[in-house]
Amino acid sequence: MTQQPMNQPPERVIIVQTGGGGIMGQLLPLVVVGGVAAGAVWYFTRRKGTNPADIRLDEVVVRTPEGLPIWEEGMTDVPILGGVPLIADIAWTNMGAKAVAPQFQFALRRTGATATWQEGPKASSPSVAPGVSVVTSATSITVPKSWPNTTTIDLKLMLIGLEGAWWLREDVLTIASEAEAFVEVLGVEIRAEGSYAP
Amino acid sequence: MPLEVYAGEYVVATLAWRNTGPVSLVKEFQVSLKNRGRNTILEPQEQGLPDWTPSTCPPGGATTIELWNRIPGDWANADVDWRIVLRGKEGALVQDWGAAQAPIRVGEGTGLATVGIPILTVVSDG
Repeated sequence: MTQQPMNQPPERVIIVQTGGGGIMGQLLPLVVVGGVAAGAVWYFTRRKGTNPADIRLDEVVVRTPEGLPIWEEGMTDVPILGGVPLIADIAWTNMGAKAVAPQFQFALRRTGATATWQEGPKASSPSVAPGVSVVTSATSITVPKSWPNTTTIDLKLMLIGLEGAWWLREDVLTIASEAEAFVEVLGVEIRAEGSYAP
Repeated sequence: MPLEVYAGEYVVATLAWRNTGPVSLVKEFQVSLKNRGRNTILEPQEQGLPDWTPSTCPPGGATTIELWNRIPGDWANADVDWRIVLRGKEGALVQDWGAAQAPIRVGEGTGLATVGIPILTVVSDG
């Protein structure tokens, strides 16, 4: 496997050529980006026989359904809650000469090569003219509440129907049990009261 | 230095906490008391108070909440430990019984009107 830049590569995205024959959903060896240990990955592939630069990934932000970001560039080891889905807002540009209407799919799994990817519904984009940039949102499955605290999660973002080259990027999300997640005690004071007046 | 209270008085814990997560949270807390001599744990419900007190905090925000319990009438001269409990989490949120926090000393006789002395600030490891 070799790394090579794509035509007009978006910043902070690494293209990995597999040598052909990549299968949708196949886990490839991860590439360390910016010195961060391999964890979760963004997968993007090119349509067979087409220029991989036809669809350029510009930015991905993962957020809650309420719009609160939980993953974006520079964030690492972000805790998330079970019981809600994640949403990937995918900013991309049609770099080709023809209009395209791609479908994206957002999948996650517990970190580990033997875990099964669980794919969210396919998210379709309207037809986008050459040179135009748009944002398409793809929803994951609901993160299972049964996944124990400190479970790390891989994320996979796919471009449906494509194969060949892969775009990889990585990060790790850590699931935290709702009972104790996100509660930081700042301090406690106690006092006595002679009467009850809450 | 123990907090001096009298039997029948209320113990009020003012808890400050921060929501470090990305979504708004509603958490429930309580302050529990333990009579060292009798090894008896007292939850607020046993004193006719709400067992759990809910507290809402926006993402990234901080909030304070008052948690109430009451010293039983027959606990005069007792040494009492206390702890804050987060519902759904086993054990103490802040510190367990008899840890570094100052205990409560129940005096002889009946409580005066109000003794409002913050005596302690502890910082949890979360």
